[in-house]
Amino acid sequence: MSMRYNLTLFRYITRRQRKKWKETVVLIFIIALSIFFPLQTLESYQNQKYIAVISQYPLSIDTVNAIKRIDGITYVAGINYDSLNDSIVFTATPEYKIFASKYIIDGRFPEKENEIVLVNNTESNHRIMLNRIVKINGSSYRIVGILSDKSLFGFSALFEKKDIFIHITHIAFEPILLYVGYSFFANETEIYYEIKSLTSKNTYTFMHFTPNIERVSIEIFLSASFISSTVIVFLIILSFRKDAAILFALGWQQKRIIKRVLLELVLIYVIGYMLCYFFLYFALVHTLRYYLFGNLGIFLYAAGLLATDLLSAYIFTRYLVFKKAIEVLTE
Amino acid sequence: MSFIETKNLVKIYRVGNKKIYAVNNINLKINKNEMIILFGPSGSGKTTLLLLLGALIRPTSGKIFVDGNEITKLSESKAVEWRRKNIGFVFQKINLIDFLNVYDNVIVPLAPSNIKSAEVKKRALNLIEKVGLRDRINHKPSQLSVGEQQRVAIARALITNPRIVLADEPTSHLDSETGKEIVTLMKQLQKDLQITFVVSTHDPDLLSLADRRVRMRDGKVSILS
Repeated sequence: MSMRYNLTLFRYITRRQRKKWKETVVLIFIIALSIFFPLQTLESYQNQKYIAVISQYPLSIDTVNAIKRIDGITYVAGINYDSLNDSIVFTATPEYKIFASKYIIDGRFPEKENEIVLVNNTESNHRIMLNRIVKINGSSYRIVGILSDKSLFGFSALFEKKDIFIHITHIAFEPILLYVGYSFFANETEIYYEIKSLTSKNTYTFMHFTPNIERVSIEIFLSASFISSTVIVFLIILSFRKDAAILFALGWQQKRIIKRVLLELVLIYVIGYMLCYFFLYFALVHTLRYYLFGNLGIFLYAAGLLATDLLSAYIFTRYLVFKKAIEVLTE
Repeated sequence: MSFIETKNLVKIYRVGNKKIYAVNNINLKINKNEMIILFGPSGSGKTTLLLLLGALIRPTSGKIFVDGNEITKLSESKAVEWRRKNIGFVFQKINLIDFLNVYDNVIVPLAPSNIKSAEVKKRALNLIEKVGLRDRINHKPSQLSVGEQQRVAIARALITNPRIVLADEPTSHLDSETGKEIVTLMKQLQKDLQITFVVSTHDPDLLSLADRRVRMRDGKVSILS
């Protein structure tokens, strides 16, 4: 293919973009966001590699050993069996500091069997949960108190550490695990928790289950980004219909027209990709650093998204645009 | 054999369970370098016949020969190539590319070819001069009148040095005076460049400009003169 043709092709693309700059800007932002948000979620999932288990309940040596066997826990600190205000810490990060004391901010400590407390782990409180019945392993428990521990579970602490915490508190005579997941855009709805009885044989299996909650949300994000991106491509291709039909009628081969469409998408996509990095830089500098220097995930994801978009653009152009090209010109 | 010849040409569209004969068993002969006008009401099959002659659509049955070659046998890609070398289209809706100026719209059909830039420029300027738009060469379609846009479309149709120009109601969006100017321009270009013009219209005032007139009704033709 001649150089002149390629230059002409590029001129068409840039001129079309200038003419339709508003649509282009919207598309670039959508592509940038569609990469950005799944990466955010992915990042929050991947950073759950540091697990801390905190207990304020006197645990047996067997239980301590069982907790230490949980994948990701390599360090034990701050063991003290004497007081409710002290904690046992199992963590993958030895430099982790011991936490401030906890206190009931609402309700009371459990006094009977089948009573539990929740840890208030965000700026917002969980008062709404008070007196609710939750089912754990088939047993019902009443939430009788809200425990404050902002220095431990507060936003700023998690922002730096990005750890998963398994908080061991107690019901009357039985230790339980309170799991708190954390995501970057933490708010009341994004904090989730799981409670399991330590006396149950299934106590530790939830560790594998809980990350799957996050994995599901990644899948949802990824699916949503791929679907929305494909829908946008469909709309863009529709906006190409008339141009494509004219070029087709004037003797351009279909493959040349498709090439033009795909090149234009790549151009837009690359700008969107750069914009995503720009967002990431300001929103989460260490993520950018991490992905840039330590992981190809972001590139693979973006490449996958681009490949999907180009494939869908090809299919839409080939089977929707050309099939209707003549109608577009003559209707 | 005539330059263009159709044999038992049929094009059927299906709307639901209904068959519509857009072109119904047409046998038509068109001589080289003549201007033929297809005349008839809307829905009579004029546009469909032009699209068939330009290999933009395929007939349901029948054959089309151009200069002795059967174009209905061509593969999709060969048909595109043949169209680019032999056919110039002028559409009823004009169909210029709105973000390109006059010059670039005119050279669009040559973009995929290997013709040298100097030759492309020479041809384009010559044609833009012929259609009287030299001083509007950098204008976008939106900055031109409808008549001027149609002139650009005519120049674009001629840039590949086609042997046949197919014009589908080129005057339908124009006032009668501008319409007459456009057809007169086409007539002039046809004589100058020795090209076969097939023009469809429902404007009876334009019939006098044709070498031959063909009436179309319900997908069938009758030769007027």
